Amino acid sequence: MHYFPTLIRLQEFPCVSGYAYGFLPPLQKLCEGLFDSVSVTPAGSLLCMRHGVDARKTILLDAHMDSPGFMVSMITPNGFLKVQKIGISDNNLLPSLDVMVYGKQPIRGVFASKPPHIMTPEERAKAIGDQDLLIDVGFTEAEAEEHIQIGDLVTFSPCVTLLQNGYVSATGLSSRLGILSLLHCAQLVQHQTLPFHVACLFSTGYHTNNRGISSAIYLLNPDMLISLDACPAAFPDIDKRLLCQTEHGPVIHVCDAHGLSLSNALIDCAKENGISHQIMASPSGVCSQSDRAFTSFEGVPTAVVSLPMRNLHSPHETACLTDAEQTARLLASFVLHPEKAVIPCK
Amino acid sequence: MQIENFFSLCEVFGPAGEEKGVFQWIEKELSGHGVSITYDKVGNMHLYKPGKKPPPNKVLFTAHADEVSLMIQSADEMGFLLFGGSQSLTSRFAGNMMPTAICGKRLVVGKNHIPGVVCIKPISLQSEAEKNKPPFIDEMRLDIGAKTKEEALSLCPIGSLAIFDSDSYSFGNGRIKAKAVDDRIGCYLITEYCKQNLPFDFHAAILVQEELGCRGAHVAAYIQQPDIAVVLDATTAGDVGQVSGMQCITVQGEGGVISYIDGGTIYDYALTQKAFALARENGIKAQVKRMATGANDAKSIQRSGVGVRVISLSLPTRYIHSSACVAQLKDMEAMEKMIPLLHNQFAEE
Amino acid sequence: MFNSHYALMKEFASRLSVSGREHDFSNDLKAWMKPFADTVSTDAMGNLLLVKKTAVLDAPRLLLTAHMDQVGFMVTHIENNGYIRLSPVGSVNPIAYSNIPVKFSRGSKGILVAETNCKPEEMKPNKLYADIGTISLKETEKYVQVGDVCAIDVPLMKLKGSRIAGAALDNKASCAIIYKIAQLLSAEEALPFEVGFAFTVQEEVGCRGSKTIAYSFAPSYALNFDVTPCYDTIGSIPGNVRLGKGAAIKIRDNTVIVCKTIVDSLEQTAKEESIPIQREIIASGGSDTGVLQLTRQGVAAGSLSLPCRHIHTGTETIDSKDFDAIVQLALAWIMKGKVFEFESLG
Repeated sequence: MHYFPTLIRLQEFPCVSGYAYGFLPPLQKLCEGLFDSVSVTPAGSLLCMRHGVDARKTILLDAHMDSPGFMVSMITPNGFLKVQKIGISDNNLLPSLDVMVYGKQPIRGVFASKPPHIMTPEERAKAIGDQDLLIDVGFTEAEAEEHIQIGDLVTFSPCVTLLQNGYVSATGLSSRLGILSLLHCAQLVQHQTLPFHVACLFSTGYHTNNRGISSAIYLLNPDMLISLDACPAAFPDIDKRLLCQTEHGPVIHVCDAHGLSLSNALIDCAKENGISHQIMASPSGVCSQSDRAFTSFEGVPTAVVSLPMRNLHSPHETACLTDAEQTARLLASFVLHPEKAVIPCK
Repeated sequence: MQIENFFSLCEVFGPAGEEKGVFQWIEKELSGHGVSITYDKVGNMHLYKPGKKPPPNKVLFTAHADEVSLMIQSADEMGFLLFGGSQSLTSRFAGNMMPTAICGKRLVVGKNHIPGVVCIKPISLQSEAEKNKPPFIDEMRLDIGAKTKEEALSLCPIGSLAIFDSDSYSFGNGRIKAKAVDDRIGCYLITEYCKQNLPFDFHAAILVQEELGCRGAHVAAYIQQPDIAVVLDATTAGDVGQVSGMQCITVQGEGGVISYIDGGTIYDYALTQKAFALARENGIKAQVKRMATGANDAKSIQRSGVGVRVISLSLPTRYIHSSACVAQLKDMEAMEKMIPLLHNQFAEE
Repeated sequence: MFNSHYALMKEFASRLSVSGREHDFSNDLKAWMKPFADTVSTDAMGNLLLVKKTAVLDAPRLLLTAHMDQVGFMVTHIENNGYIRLSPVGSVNPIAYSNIPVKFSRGSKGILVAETNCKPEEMKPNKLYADIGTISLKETEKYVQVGDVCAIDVPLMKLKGSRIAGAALDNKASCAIIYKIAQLLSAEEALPFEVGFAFTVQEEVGCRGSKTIAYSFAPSYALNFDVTPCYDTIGSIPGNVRLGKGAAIKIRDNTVIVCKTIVDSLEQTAKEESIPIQREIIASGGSDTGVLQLTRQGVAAGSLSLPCRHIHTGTETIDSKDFDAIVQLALAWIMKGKVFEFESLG
């Protein structure tokens, strides 16, 4: 898996909850040859199957493909675009940020901000409010209405940068690196017999109502679910004792709200195969996608494996590529010998 | 009610996420009583006791096995353990427990039941400001007597679950004190009922992870698909000190609590009315919940699958979600008497 | 049977149906709707479902939904001196509910007042209590009991033009819309797909009823009808939806991002039929649409909203022209078989 060039190629395809359909063609291309079947679910997610020897058991591996973004909610009388957030963004990072507005064609724009010398001291001391997010596309109202309508998608301008020591910074990295890591896992087991069915789900709705994972669980009734996610890596002044580190391998979450059996099996697998990993306690839940999955329909034992990520939820999420490789290795090792993780229903 | 037996159930180690100790207690009690026991994919326990005949309506009684708990997150260089109860890494609170319920108490951690004490900065070293506010969870430490970070984490690895270490006893005028009355009372009453010869087949589910948001209940209800569910739980009794009237929420001595509405559910009107009528006709005390606070597994059960008609029957409990739940025997007995009445009535409703 | 939209809405709005106590209104709806459907059923939660069947085998199923509950209060405690203590049911702004006339389940009328000397900053729904003129607990219990409900008692009135104001237009107006659609459909030829009309319960307390009825009916497509806030009142934050501007096609609310194909399909129909429409994105607030979207393996769900000012007060205001636009649009969309264009994308 050539992570950096693939991230560059995927840049031109936005993928935000509610607008993920444009991302499916390039993703399907990356899946070519790796799976026995590839289909789009009724929730618009991509479901890729590898058949296993024991057809009665299915492992579901999930990587969400959608990133946070924005939606045009109004065109103001002076041609600015009022936008609403989709998913989490830090308002303090937005002023003067480059964006792409997907109207009739992609259009460039900038997050507007008031000049500091006309702000009151109170305004300057506060973050810009959700109701005040405006995009400057350089148009009058009439010109804007020609090209853009309410409901159109806005994203951070895509950007992928190679930093030192195998670190990469990119928009949407927390979802895209997970996708590539899962595809890398599929490559590692491409020519090997798998004991159980393995379903790789590239889900949508992670940042909204988790419709992708809900649909897949209904369709497959899997025996176990491993969800790929990203969690904040150590940063100065934050209690390091509670955070993970980059370059130390994937984080395996120990979460009481997911049951502990699957995460224990993953930890054993990592130790037996010499894969570097970290363990994080996640009391009462990890993220809404996996928390919800555990209790959906007939339920499914769940574990979350996270990529340690710096600058999470910013336009420049940053990770070390070796962590993605180790994550792929962990998942591959697990699906080759998942027997110990099967929880007997007495 | 066999109170010593009930106490032994309260004392079982059963945090959310690791409830199997409670299941083992129940399996042992039910051995030889003809109850079939299965577990679903998320770990809920399903009980089936055949009766004289199958009921026209499938009625499911539920109780939750888990007690409030905390999770070990890390250790510091001095060997003190850091712990939390909330999803958010920056939260200064512990999910569903008051900080004052936690600090100054003893906990036990993990399957080896490592004992520890929760401590904060001693009062003689606190500033005036510190003395006047309850501590945040990140200001608390669990002291297990370890000398280094490595020793602490080898005994209590990251992710270990901790519960209150608290004994049980009777006291006062027919009251009891124990940990985990929420919801070992429900588990106990279901277990006792299963031991009897019953007119109708009896279905029950002992649920996991109620304290983490009524989670196991979704799956148990989806699998069982009952027509009616009776949720047995414990609820807040606020009849403490000067609190009176509506603010008490429920009162001790007035029987089991049957709610019309709480923070998670609007209960089935007809079934709730019927439950009160049964109590009246049989001279059993029952009370309403005076404010729509709190929630229980009914919220997950009611909306699962094609829908379920739900009511709840709860024990009014003082200092719920602490190491010292206080309840009144009279109320526990009143709840116990309601169970066969509800089962038989709703089976043919 | 109802000779005008006003007469229809006035009849519907006069029925008390606070969440959890929809039974009486449900019985009325059953009687009114019966001539337009082949089957009628009620589920465990009290949702009312009427189905117009089709002769086509294995035909797809379309579900039209409107919640039949309204916000109000439930009696949880009666004081010794006869005052009635309440719990809010649904989102209630205590300021809009202070010093108003209310009607109770068993027919009594009374007043809802705030605790005397309660400061504005302390105002919360549980500072409100009701007085029906009784002086003791025993006397009150002759007329009102714990578990009963009450709601604002303000009958509908006509404003100038085609505007109507009063209590409970949320969501009795949408129930009336479904009634009209069903009535008009019954005069048309048979359809090649099954149509379910579902009047759901407990939407106001968290979209609870729609979950179970959607699961039971298992539609492939769904269209939800609800009211949506207008942004054209004094002091309103900026927003697109205006009273009288036409049927609001939902793009997004806090439960759902509606798929692009669904929005496009509705807009295309409106264009062909020259029906006035507007795009709806709301700043806060949800609807049953999100729940519908998540049903089973996923449902292609959209929503047509009735613009309404001052939602959840005694002075909710709608425009009959918008009511008409929604009925016409829904009918045309159904009759043209546009349902088959409803594709659920990611």
